[in-house]
Formats: sequence, C-alpha cells, structure tokens
Amino acid sequence: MLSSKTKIIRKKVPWQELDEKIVILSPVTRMSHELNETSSWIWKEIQQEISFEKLLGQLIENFEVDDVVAHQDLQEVLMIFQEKGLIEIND
Amino acid sequence: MTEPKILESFKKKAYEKNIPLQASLELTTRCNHACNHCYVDKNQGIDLSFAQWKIILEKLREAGTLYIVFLGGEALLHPDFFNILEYAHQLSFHTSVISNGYLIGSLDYAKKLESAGLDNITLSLYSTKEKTHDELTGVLGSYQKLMRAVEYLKQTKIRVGINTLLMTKNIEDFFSIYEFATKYKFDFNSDPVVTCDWLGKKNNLALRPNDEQLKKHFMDKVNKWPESLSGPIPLPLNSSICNMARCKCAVNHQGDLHPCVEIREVLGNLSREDFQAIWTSDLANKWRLLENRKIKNLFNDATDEFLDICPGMGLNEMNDPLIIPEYMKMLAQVQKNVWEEFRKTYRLPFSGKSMLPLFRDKDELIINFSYKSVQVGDIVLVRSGGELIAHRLVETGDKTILKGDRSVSAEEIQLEDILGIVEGFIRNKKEYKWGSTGMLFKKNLSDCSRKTLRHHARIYRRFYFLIIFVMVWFSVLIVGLNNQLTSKNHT
Repeated sequence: MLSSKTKIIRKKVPWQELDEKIVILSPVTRMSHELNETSSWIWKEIQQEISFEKLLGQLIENFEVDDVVAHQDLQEVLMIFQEKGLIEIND
Repeated sequence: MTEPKILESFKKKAYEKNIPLQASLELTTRCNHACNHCYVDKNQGIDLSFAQWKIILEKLREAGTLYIVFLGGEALLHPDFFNILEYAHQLSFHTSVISNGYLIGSLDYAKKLESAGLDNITLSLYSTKEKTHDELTGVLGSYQKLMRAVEYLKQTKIRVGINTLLMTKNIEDFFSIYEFATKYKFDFNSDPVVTCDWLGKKNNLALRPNDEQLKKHFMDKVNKWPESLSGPIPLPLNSSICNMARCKCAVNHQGDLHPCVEIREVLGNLSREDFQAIWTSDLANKWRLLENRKIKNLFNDATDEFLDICPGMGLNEMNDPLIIPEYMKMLAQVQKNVWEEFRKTYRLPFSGKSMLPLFRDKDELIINFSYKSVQVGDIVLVRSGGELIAHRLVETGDKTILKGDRSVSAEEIQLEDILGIVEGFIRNKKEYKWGSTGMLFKKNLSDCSRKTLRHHARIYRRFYFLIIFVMVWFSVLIVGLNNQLTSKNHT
C-alpha cells in the first residue's frame, strides 16, 4: 500500500511518444511496453521524481475522478511500472 | 497486444508520419583499423564537439527518435564519446554502438560504457581464425584485442551482438562465427554485401563472394536451419523503395543530415538548422518518394521478389539510385535458385510418437515454408528446445495452442514462432498430401485431439484417441486417395 510520502523515481529507460502513446523499452524484461493514455500521462508526470501524494492530486485534477478510484488505479499502474523495472518506489 | 506487435505498430505509425525512429550518428571518420572492405572515407575534417552533438540529440529527441546508433570510423575514438553517450542516455534514447572493440582494454572501460547507459554494442568479427581476422582488419593483434573486449563486455549488462561482413576470404567461417556468438548468447548478424565507398571507389568490391560461394553458403544455411530459407517477398511497384528519410536518418561527423547511412547527399545541417525544416524539404521528399516502379533494371519476373534493393548502393556504385548493381541481381538469382532447389528436395525426417497414428518413425514431412496463414487443424512446424517439432494447431485467437495427436498435454506458442505448415508426408516412397477438401477432416481431428488433453477423464480421452485412430487409418489406407489425402509414388 503506497502512502502519501512514498517517492516515485523514474528510471532512465529508453522511451518515446508517438500520437500520445508511449512505448518504453524495459531493460529488465528486454521487452517493449505500450502505455495507454492514462498510463502515458502518469509516466510523463513522474519526470524524474515525485511524491505519491502530489501525483495522485494531479491525477484527480486532470482526469476529474473519484479519490478512491484514482488512488486504487494509480497504485495499480505504479505496481506494474515497478514490476517491469521502469520505476523505483521509496517509502 | 503482444510485444512484437507493439513495436510493429509503433514502427508502422512512424513510417506513415515520417518519424525518424532510428538515427545513425557518425561521430568520426577516424579509425584505428585499416579494413580494405571499408566504405568510409577516412580522416575527413574536424569532428563535432560535445556541445554540438547535444544540440543534435535534442533535436532528434523532439523529432521522435527512439534508437541512436553510434558509428564511425571507430566511434569510441571520439574524445567526447562518453559524454555524448551519457547525454543520449539522459534523453531516454536507446543507445547502440558499432565498434571493432579495440579500445575496450579493461573491465573498467567496459563498466564505464555500462554506467554511461550503453544498451547495445555490435562488434565486428570477421573470422574465428586469428590470422584471417587480422588480415581483414589490416591490424596485427586486432583479433586478440577483440576477444579481450568480449571477455570484459560479458561481465556487464550491455547486450552484445556480433556482426560479420561475409567476403570471399571468410564466408566459409560463417558457422564457426555463429557458434562463437551462440556460445556467449550474443546476437548474431551476417551480411554478404561489401558496399563500395562513398566516393565511388570500387577497389573493395573484389572482396565480394562469388556466386558459387554464395550458393554453397545459402544451401549450407538452410540445410542446417530450414527456417532461415528466404522465400519470395512481393515487390509492390507503387510502394517506396525503402524507409530512408522516413523512419531512419543519418548524421555525419560534421552534422550533415542524410536520408540514410548510404545516401551521402546532404539534406541540411542539423547542428545549425531546424530538423523539421530539413525533413519536410523537397530534397528529403525526393528520396522518400522513390518508388519501386521507377527502378530501371528489374528482372520483371519472379526473381524480383528476391531482390534487396538499396538506392544508396545504386547511387554509390552505379551513379544512379534507380539502377540495381549487378552483384545484387546475382545475389537475388542465387537466393531464388536455392529457394527452388530446397523446396523441391527438403524433407524433414520425423521421429517420435506424439503424432501417431498419422506420422510414424521414418516418415518424411513435406513442409511449406511460404505459407500465408494458418488455421485450426493445420500441422505446423516450430522450433522448441532446439528441436523442430510438428504438432497440430488446436486453438488460435487469444492463444495459439499446439498439440500432438497422441499427446495428453498441449503447448502455447506465438503465431510468429510457426516456421512452416506440413503439407503432407512420404512413407515407403509414397507421397501423401492434403487435398483442398481435407480442411474439414483436419478440423475434426483437431477437435478430437483437444478432447484428449490430460484434464479430461481417462475413459473420455481413450474414446477420442480411438476416434482419431480410426479417422486417420481410414483416410490413409482406404479413402486417402480421394477426400482426405492424395497420394502419389515418390521416387
């Protein structure tokens, strides 16, 4: 469970955006991953490092979604990013 | 979407929008080798500085580039190589370098490449015989230096590839180089095309393999790896010749932008000018819109489907991008001959029991390597665990599942793994092939085969094994000639 103080750090992995879709080449899986619109937005917002709280706030504001749903969805996306070696999560 | 499909879709979009997904950056024309086959015009002018390369990298990032390939000359000779590499890594490019490995003289150096963010390195290896390699590089000791580089790079996470240019002197070393690369789990690529240098000097073309050597090379390759057989690829006359000035570009050591590495016409200078202004110019469009129908010396027969057409080669060797050099035409002819000969004569010896009662030990399978699509019921060839396996396709769609008719387990594969379709088999010199009416039969067999999977009750599975046995026995021995299989005597 991610807390508000959790820091999300984007790893230096190759990626590029085309038509608002992002493709990332994961060094861990050695595979390419395509992000949907929401995940692409999250990826770009992380930039280098951001707190979970700030990212969540921006997500709610940008997509006008319910707090609880946003919290759950964001956590899920970040877990997937972490599993694929794309980010680090520091409590 | 599966992983190969993600990149395929991305590349397709890049092609449609002329996004240069890959940029080859020639950092320097200087080199510490003296290869006679080299096409680079060496020691030409002053190389760009790190500050200038930073500007170019930022422009390429903005333009949509994902892959950066550093080359030369010898790219590692650039005094700011590590700074440039690190900056490219910071900008989130995927970075590769093509190198002779000569300067990778310590583990520290290799680790420095890794921490600067290098993703891939491709090393040029010409032979596993030290003398041959050194002769071809023109530098005594270059083989030992390369082997040393290999030992250090193995200890990093950099993905290593071996590239071999095949020439008359080293084409017979192909398999030993392949084994070398496989031993270390390196990627391996070979190419039998020596290209003439950028100034049009053709001395190095004498190093190209002759047609006899090429034919032997391709025949040896397909006999060892049938799936490497290159079949015809349609040549649509109204399509662009290649993806130059679309999803690839090249930047030389002075910042000049080219449509690709081979075409040396300068579109503009990226260290001074805006990328889009150059990329959307009439000059860039001229290259990007070259179509196959404008080529002046096609065969105008089926051999065209074996051609590998490069306008850059035409420009450098024939002074005309629309004329295919004779060597490339000869190469296409050789590949077509190999294709035709191999298809007529190749038979895959079958062993094992997984496809009983249909296939038995000592049967020989007839394979179609140039299939267009597969359907449930087809028996397909895949490579699994280093062996070739022919099993029945029992499911396609979300998952692609193969199963031996006599097996109680199935295996999931990717559609891309299918090397060919089994068209028939030879038994006791008699050839049996599925006729066009055999599809329903194959689908019924496939349904029965699925019902024999382990998770069903034993008596249920036995019943369906019996059905399969009766269906196959009946078709091969009794009805075979008419509905299900056609047979002819095979000599």
